[in-house]
Amino acid sequence: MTGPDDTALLARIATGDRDALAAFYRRHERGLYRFILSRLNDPTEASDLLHDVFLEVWRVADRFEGRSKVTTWLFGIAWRRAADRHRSRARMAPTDDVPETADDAPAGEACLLAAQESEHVRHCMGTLKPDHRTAIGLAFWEDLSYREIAEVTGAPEGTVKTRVFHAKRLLLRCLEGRVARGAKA
Amino acid sequence: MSGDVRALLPFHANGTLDPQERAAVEAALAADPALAREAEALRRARATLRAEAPPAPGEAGLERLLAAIDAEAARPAAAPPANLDRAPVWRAAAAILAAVALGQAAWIATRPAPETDGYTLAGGPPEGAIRVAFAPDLDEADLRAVLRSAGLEVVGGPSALGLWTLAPVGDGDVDTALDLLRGFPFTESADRIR
Repeated sequence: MTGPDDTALLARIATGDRDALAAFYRRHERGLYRFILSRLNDPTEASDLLHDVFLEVWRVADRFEGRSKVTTWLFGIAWRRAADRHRSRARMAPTDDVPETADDAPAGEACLLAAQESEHVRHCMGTLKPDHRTAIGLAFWEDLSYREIAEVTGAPEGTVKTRVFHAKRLLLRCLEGRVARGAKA
Repeated sequence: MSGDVRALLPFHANGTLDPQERAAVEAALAADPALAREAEALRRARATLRAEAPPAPGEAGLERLLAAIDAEAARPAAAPPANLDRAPVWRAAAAILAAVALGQAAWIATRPAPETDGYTLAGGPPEGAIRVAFAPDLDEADLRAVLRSAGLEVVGGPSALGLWTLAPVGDGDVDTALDLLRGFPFTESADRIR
């Protein structure tokens, strides 16, 4: 990361510094957009929500207390707003946690090869349910720990680990199947 | 193989485990070639995912954002900011919902009063507690009105993200309280903790 750190940028944003907001936007826009898109699965809605999240950052930057990472705080805002949108469209589906079962995640050569192909990985991420996609996305796109993901989503740490566990299993199973079925990358 | 270690593999791949967890995972990887292949597949999938990004709004989005901020700043001074403007509405809504909830709350009135006017701290959320995010400028008076009308008490929070953990007073019904809570205009999200 070059330039001021996130906390310093937020402090400047809190004083009404538009340049700091622009720097903060450019630093986080892509990751945040990808996260929101993973929740809403609609590019237009994701763009609108991205706009709303940065507007909220502008309005409430002075309330950041530094008790969590700025990234965690920022993604928490996005997660709550995405949850609101889900709710406004329809009651959110019940949790898609599935019961713990024996782990049969494949890890053959086919899976290793498919994991290197963006088309396969993108396709398989798209097959995951939103909660699973969000959990694995925050782990892989944003490098958040399971504790940080729990903070972002307001879910207990055990729930986050379970979600990521199942998301990982489904992702690897899908990758293995893509190659086995001869899908083109 | 322990499910715990398998659950930690994605976080081993992203390097966020604490030293003790990392040592446990690496010992398991050294002892189990199948697990090591799974870890390698996850590392590759992570690298592949990070190498691409969907087209985001970019500079056009930033221009739109700055224009919205300018428009907000240009509002007549007499018009208060939207989020502050909502406060009286919230109070009115809280009063109305409090009245609507009177029947539901009547039975609560026959019970011993809560000791702390809706603010009871406990060691952890009880089963069936509710995690809720309120609009950031909800004031204490409104919060108390919400708690009283929905028959809830605070058992935790606010967290760093402003999340409160609430639970019904006595034997109150969680689902009824949750529906009431979601009806308040300043409730940003409310979900049952399972």
